[in-house]
Amino acid sequence: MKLAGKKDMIIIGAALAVCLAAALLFVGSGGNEVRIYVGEELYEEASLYIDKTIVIEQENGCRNEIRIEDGRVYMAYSTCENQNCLHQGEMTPDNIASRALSNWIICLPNRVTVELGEE
Amino acid sequence: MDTRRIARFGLLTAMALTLGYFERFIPVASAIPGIKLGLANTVLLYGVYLMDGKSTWLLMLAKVVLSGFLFSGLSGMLYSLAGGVLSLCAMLLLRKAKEIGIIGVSVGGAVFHNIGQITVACMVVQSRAVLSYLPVLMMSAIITGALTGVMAKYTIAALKRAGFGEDKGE
Repeated sequence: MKLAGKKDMIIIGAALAVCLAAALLFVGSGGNEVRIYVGEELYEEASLYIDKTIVIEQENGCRNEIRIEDGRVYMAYSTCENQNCLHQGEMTPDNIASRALSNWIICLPNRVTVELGEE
Repeated sequence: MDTRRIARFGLLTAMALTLGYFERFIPVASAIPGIKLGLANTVLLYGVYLMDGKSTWLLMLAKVVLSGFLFSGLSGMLYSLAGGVLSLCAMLLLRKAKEIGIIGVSVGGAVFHNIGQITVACMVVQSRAVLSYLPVLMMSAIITGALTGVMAKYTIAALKRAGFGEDKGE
């Protein structure tokens, strides 16, 4: 039984091309500026090199705590159910290339996103 | 629906729910929602090859609604519904095309499943952060789609030999 034909390979190739294009388009290069968004609105902007804890409390009861510490930023606390944002770990300008979500920490349920970008 | 088809439909629904549940215990990339093996969705792939279109749509809806109430909650249901609708559309269309085998159908279904989920995430969060999910999710869809496609190819061949899929298109 033949596993995959020519057209199957074309589908896989096309998907890989879209994947690569998306990576080139959407993966950020990072920087030293921490930008925190709630939904599409910029909530706070801070330097990666000034230690700080940013607390976001939303009217719907969602609460997130983002900590900036020794040149790294991470989600320290979240009321969300899945806690994925905590598992996404810390971001530094050096580890962005190896992170699956590159220069973002994303808490989907609470609509909170953290970007490490250029000033 | 004759009893044979009812039994098969029930069996596939049960399989989709069970696989969807156990899949949670197989960590692939736990911090990134949406990256899973897609075992539950392979059941849809079997549906595409063994049942008529209408039954397959029904199977997808049953899986989304039931696993939503049982495991993932309402917001999870929205994500899996968008993924399910897009991936089933893609699989049914690709299945009709000549010379596209089950691997191609499987990869197409997996890719569109993730595109559906990204679309919902974009609407919920309204941040371009969500787009940084896209490359990771696409890559994982290609790999898991190809793997489950290989699995499904042999399973479906065996099921057909066992007389499980003979009344396709009735």
